[in-house]
Amino acid sequence: MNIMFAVDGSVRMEDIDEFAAMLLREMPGIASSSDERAEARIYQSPTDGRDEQADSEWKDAVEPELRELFSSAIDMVVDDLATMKPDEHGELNLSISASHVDPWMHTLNRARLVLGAEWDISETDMRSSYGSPTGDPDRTLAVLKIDFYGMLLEFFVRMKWKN
Amino acid sequence: MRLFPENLIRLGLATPDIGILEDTDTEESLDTPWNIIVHNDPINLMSYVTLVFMRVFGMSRKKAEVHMKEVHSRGKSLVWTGAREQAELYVQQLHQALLLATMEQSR
Repeated sequence: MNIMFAVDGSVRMEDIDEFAAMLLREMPGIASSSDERAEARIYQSPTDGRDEQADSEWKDAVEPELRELFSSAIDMVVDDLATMKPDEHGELNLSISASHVDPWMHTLNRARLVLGAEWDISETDMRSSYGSPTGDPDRTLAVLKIDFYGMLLEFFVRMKWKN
Repeated sequence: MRLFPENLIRLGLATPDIGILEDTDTEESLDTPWNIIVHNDPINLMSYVTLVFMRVFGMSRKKAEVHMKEVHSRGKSLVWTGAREQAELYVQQLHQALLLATMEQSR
């Protein structure tokens, strides 16, 4: 897979192999998980229980706004992924406009955090090279996905630094 | 967001009562600054955390990296101190960026 950044801030991914395409297509669904552990990670309380009133007001006033924002970001990524189709040479390509880069960064990061919360991924897991201590292949695949989305996110972050 | 009575009055959601307030410690608590703490998590990329600090607080990359490294090595970093309303706005932006962030009153 080749990733190119244009001067106008847009991104183009070319020659996306089937496995990478599958991981990309899975990403919005992972990010949208309503798993309790994932929800707790994504929607935090501002005082972590120290000020119950403030936390309650936050849940009523701020959280719905964040939910709407996050949902809109994921929808943009879904729309972009729908355009990822084989060209005349059979290669899968994907273009992301500059205005969709932040929604992509959000969705990539959110998918990583959701996987991390659902699988209770630790620093040790992240440092291991797919040699899962539990030997659980599903857990190993979760770490691989976190790394794949992280690699793409790192590209986007570097692009933002340059701009 | 804090729903102060004066805001509800401004929005037409409440009417002011006229009376004598008892002496309270409101003034003191309003004056006490609030700290924003960013906590470590095993998933967020260090480069991403740095970028968020630069975007939210307008930090230089160098300063943002100092705070990011503190989060990573010590588990948390105090990234900002100031008035409560501004702290709430910053924490909202940090949560929007999916960083683990809390606010607490300075002692």
